[in-house]
Amino acid sequence: MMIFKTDKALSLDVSRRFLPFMMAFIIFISSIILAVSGIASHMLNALGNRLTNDAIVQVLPNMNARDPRAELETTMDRVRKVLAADTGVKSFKIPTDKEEAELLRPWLGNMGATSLGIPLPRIIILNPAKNVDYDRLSIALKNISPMINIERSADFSTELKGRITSLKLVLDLMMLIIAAAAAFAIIHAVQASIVANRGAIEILRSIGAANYYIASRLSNRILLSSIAGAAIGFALSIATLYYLRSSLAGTSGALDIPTVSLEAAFVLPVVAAVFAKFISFFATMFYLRGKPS
Amino acid sequence: MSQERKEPRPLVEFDDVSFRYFEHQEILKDVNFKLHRGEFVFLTGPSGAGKTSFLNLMHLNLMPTSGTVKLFGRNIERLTPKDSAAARRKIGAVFQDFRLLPHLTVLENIALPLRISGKSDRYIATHVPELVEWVGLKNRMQSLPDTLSGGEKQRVAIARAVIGNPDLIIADEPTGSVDDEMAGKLLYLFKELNKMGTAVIIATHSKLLPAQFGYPVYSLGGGIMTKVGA
Ligand SMILES: Nc1ncnc2c1ncn2[C@@H]1O[C@H](COP(=O)(O)OP(=O)(O)OP(=O)(O)O)[C@@H](O)[C@H]1O
Ligand SMILES: [Mg+2]
Repeated sequence: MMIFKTDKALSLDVSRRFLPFMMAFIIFISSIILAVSGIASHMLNALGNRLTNDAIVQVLPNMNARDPRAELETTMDRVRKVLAADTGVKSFKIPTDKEEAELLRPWLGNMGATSLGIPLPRIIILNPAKNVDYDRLSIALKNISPMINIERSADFSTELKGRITSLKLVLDLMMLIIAAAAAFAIIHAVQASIVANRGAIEILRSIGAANYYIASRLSNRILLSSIAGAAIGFALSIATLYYLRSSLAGTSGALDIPTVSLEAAFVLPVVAAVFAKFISFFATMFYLRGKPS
Repeated sequence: MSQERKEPRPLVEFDDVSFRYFEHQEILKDVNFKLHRGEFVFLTGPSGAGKTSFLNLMHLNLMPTSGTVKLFGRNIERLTPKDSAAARRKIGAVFQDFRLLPHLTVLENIALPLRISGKSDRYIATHVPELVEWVGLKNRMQSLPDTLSGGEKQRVAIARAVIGNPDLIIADEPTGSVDDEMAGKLLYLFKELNKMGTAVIIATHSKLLPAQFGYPVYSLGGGIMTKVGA
């Protein structure tokens, strides 16, 4: 393969000592960033799909009342009437005690809330119409009791989406910074190699080597170093991503975290090696340009 | 316009060329010189006369202070770096200081011009060892230049100059470090290439060497070039 054809003419390769390790490190870090960024994207998509207009009405018991349980029931009756009368509410559902206990289990455990002897807050799941006006409904419900709240899932999703988006932004920025750092390191390696091989370059030119020839040989050397680094980077990242995947597997609940993709571990070493070859080729051409031959 | 029969284009043409190093006295004064395909000439003159400088102009390492130098029909001051590289690939040069790559073996040093012009490994594997044997370095093929004697280095330099079958050979004191017998053998290489059309210019302070051949001899002294024999 032509691309691997390096001759030994430019063998004073000063980058050989640090480039592989730098490459490995960069591939390792970026594969983790990419995996996390992938999870973030997945969650954003999921939230986007779920971004509906539904809401939950929470009716909290008034513990200061003489009979909180009885008062809660009265309040519930009045809430039912208000909801039934509101044209913005297509239908609503009041979970049974059992269903509610199920919903609250993550917080209260199996012992169930009723055993505490206090009435549970009641929740009502709304199925809103398009023209729903939550502000108006909220006022109407607050008139019944200040202990009634409307929790809109859209508010929660929007906030979460905002956070995840900024996290993703930071991750993408990190990728950019890492790519720039890698480019600088490669350019530095090229400069150092040109200095170290100055004598050889002069001789090569005096027997007719064009800058293109020198640049392709030098960048092949850098490519070889990078491939060594890519191999180490691959090993590190596949191991780490695999570990992340298994430790995050089975996470469930409100934030459904997807399987960690191992793709980055395969793609990044290849991308990094090609990137190194191109950057070093053009950097060499740049440094040798216009030099009196 | 000219009534004369048009002479073929020279490979090398110096037109009123003067040259001096920065702040130095003139080394070449209004030199006129032509070298055609198939010619073989010697350039003599005492040490410091400017022979190496003259050859360096021809090899694009120096530019004239005034006048024009044309190589393969083109003014050397108008060549792009790419053109210069291409022109040099048509020249086989033997430098007075050899200029071998210290970390390449004898074999690889000689193969270098072939690698630069993109010849295949197979071509290299068949052609280079043959020539290495001819210059008497069969047993030193895998040696590094630093382990060679002056004469051996010189032979490597000559082999590297002729391996690519160049249009022009520029040799600066190519037999200064070898005995007479080896000198004859090396010059034979040049003669053989010359028979096939390669133009050859050899700089030497030896008066004996040109005398053995009967080729034209140019002499440099005091910045003036004169044709002394032929
Ligand atoms: N790079 C340089 N800078 C300044 N002066 C130089 C340089 N190279 C050579 N000279 C001077 O130019 C003159 C001609 O040198 P040149 O090497 O061309 O002579 P030469 O005929 O090849 O000598 P020799 O037979 O000893 O090789 C000498 O006086 C030398 O000192
Ligand atoms: Mg000289």
